[in-house]
Amino acid sequence: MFYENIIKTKMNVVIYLLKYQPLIIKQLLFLLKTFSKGLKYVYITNYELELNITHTHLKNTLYYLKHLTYFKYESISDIIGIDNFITKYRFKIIYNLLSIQNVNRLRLSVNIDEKTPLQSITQLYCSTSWQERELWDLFGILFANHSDLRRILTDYGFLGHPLRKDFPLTGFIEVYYHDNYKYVGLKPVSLAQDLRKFYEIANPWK
Amino acid sequence: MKKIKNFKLNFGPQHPSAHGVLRLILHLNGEIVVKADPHIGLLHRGTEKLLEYKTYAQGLPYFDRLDYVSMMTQEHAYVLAVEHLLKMTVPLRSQYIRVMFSELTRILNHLLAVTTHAIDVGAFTPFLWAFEEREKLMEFYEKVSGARMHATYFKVGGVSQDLPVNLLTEIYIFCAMFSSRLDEIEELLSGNRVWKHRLINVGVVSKQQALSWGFSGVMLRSTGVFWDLRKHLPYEVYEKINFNIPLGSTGDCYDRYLMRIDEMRQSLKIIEQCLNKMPPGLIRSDNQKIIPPKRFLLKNSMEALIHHFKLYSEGFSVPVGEVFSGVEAPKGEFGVYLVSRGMSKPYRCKIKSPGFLHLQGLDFMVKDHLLADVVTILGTQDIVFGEVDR
Repeated sequence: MFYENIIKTKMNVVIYLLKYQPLIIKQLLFLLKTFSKGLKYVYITNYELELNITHTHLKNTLYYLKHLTYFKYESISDIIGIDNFITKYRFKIIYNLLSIQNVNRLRLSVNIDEKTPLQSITQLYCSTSWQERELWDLFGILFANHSDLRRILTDYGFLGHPLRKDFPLTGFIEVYYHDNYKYVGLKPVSLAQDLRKFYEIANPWK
Repeated sequence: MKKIKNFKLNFGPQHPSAHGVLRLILHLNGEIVVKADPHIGLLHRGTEKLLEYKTYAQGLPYFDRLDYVSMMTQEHAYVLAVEHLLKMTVPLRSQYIRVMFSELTRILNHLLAVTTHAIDVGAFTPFLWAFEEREKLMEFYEKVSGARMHATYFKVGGVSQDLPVNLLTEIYIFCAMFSSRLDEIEELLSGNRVWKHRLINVGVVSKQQALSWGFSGVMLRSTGVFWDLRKHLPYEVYEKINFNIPLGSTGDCYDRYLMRIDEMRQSLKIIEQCLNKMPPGLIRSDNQKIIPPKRFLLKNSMEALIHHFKLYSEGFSVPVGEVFSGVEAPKGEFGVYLVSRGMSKPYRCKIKSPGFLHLQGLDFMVKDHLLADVVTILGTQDIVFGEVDR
């Protein structure tokens, strides 16, 4: 795996955290007690807490995290999609929660594959409506029960999901203006020179 | 009898009061707005995709171009994220310089926000005054970096160049003059009958709504929620600086106008403290594996030449990890979520822009308002399409 500090056993997490973040421990213990079924892993990267849960438990977990007076994660600052295209569960979606009461951030992540739709949480957090539309637009992640799942950032009639790793940087289609016939048309991308790939260097320089 | 339906009005995408390229489909009942459906993405440049193909140093200039009126605060978020992954400490002098320029940027942004808002409502004069002041601020940008707007001044490990001679004096003179310029703007607007009629009780947001819609910055604080990243999750030297956070009470447009003016005054206070406390020392970390060598060394040392070549072709590699770094940009919480896989390019870089979430809230804010108030609310949200569309 990619992470340095993955700690899979739940007890180890607590011991690890005791060194760094005594405030989070209370919350974490409570979380482990409440959501032990859905909880898969707890990651600590750069002293930030990230809970990985199964995608079926997402809505319930968020409900508790929002409403319990202990947490009060009332606002979602951001939803982040990551395309880990080799793995079985292709997409990792991270909900970046913010608790203004506790001055604390928590990351809740779920792993899903391309075909499974994720439960929409627009009823819980109004702000996620556009954020979910953005994930659908750029990654092609489906959201069930979303009232208005249209594309948002790309052009009307755009095909494909640009932030997927198998989508080329240059895209497939380009827009051009036909000067003789005075119209805007579409044609396949043709570049004079291929995109240079410097990044496929086997061992990065140390 | 035929039933009369609501009619739809297409607002934009090239309307001057749309603050850029916003296409807004308004459902109107007479002159009352029933529903607003913003169509965004007309300025979508795929910044997040581009960043995946650029080294960490090459990715930096893209952040200037997101929100093109608060340039340096966005570089700040990115630079902080990379430094956090590198576990790098930044010299104290460069931290003060960064804080000072972040606050200059805040003034730069709020001047535009307040006065273009005034234009939308019908007052032209403050706009001309503010742009004269903005010119001075952009001269400071030019003096430190050579560019007036897209400065790329904050670099990983510090800032790109030291402050030129006399710049601190010039900034001090600006600060001394500027607060009376603010008084002039306030004199014209704060007590103005038209201005108050157009702004008071327009676009009211409640505390619950603001949190649920993910608002941040002035939009959140106008509802009375005390939340400022500079105070609550302080970065750089904000802990050492004494300043206040203006809070609103009613959450309407007039509150937000007054808060923006007050934030500018607080920024002046911060800048003045930075001027007084500015320590001598390095302006950039001296880690040779990350920071490119100075020009003098480049011509005299073989080692430096090798480093220069490697840093500008392949770039430095960042340890594996994920980090979210948020800064209090003038418009709200601007955040960068960086995922590194140990290569010299980010695996994923998600940009959290405050304007995106604010514009989403436009629908509930304009509901049951008159058509003319749509422009007022757009103005108070301080939308810039560079960051909304990314």
